[in-house]
Amino acid sequence: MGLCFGCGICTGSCPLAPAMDMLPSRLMKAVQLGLQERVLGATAPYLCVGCETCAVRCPNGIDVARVMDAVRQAGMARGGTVPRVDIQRFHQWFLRTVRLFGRAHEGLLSAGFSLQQGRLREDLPTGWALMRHGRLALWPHSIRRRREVRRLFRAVGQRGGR
Amino acid sequence: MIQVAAERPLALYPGCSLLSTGTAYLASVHETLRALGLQVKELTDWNCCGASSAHFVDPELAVLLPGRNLAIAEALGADVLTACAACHHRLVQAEHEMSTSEVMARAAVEQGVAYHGGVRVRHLLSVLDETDLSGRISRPLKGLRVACYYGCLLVRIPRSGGIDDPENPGIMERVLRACGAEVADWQGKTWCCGASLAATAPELAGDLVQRILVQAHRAGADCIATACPLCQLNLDLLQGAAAERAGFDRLLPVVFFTQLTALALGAGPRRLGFGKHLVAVRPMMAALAG
Repeated sequence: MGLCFGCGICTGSCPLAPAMDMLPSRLMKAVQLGLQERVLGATAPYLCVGCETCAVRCPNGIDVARVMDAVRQAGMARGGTVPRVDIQRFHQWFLRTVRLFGRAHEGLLSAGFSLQQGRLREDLPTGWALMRHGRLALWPHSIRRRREVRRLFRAVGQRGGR
Repeated sequence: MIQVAAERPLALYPGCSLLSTGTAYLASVHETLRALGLQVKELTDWNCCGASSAHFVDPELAVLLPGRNLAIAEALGADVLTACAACHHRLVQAEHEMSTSEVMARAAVEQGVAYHGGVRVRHLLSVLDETDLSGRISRPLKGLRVACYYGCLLVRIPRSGGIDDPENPGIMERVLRACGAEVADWQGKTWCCGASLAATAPELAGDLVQRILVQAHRAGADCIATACPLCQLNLDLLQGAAAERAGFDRLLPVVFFTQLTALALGAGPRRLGFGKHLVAVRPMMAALAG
């Protein structure tokens, strides 16, 4: 982190930078300066999809995407409402299905997320198109030793989401 | 005892998407392996790698979930064969972290993930790149101009390295050229498709998909080939709207690279899941036949 000299290559490389409220290089500087509230309140770490373009290009070898991860995790650990609760919910639904079955179940994930966001009506055409093309498995593919996977979730406690 | 890497059997790790939205990928992976006479069993009782959701919430979960699969492979004395780009990325990252961080290795063992190192995670593209395909191609992909699309996770793995150069990879081009296809030289091959933002911020993902499609059209491609079920889904599902916004005169089929390799190796098209594509592959098949 201390190595960042603000060259901005992370920002220039980031496919989501145009949609971010705080550009990756600005966020790096804010972390260096310890501007906790501004950093934790930024939507940028929630929009980051971890494409790692910043990480492979940083001249100082900083994994900026990892910093985004850490900032987001710190924000969520603090409790309260995060800047993009919808995106947080999506990932929580994903992990919920993994905890249940040992494998992700895209059908339950999309249905659960869509319902919680109250946009089932908007999402139905997509779901229907996927179903018509045989691309949504209705039945989950459970693993045999689900207990082993649940143990991994228990190890990280609340952080794994519920 | 020194283990010779090449002699370790490969265990296939399909990943969750290949059981639902990406079944055409799984079918064509199997057809490709079968055509090459490669005997590959599925990794026993594998679990989800956590994809982008585990590292969204917790760094440890992001290693433990893929770690369990590595431990299973180690117990079997096998290396892991991947197809999905995200699974590949997470498994390689987890292998690296458990091998280099004592804290992580200990945390894993404490949670019943008995991994001690030594398992290689290999992507099918690398395996095909090292396989001599000459003489095995029964149906060369003549006349088909392919835009090879890598997306992010296959080539950009910080510290451990992806399957090829992160800025200008060429491994998929080599494999598909060996299958007789013509490959397009184009700009968009490592641009991001928006991943799960397609569900949470569709307007952003739509823009990213459109940018990629513009480049593929500009390069005169007949189709786009991917190695990632989510890239395929986004480029396929969001293409109709993107085409309307950008005014494309035609839609580009988005196929899995394995559908093309399997075709070239003589597998029947009916077994490759082409009917599951949202953008019809018929024009591509016509280009092939012509």
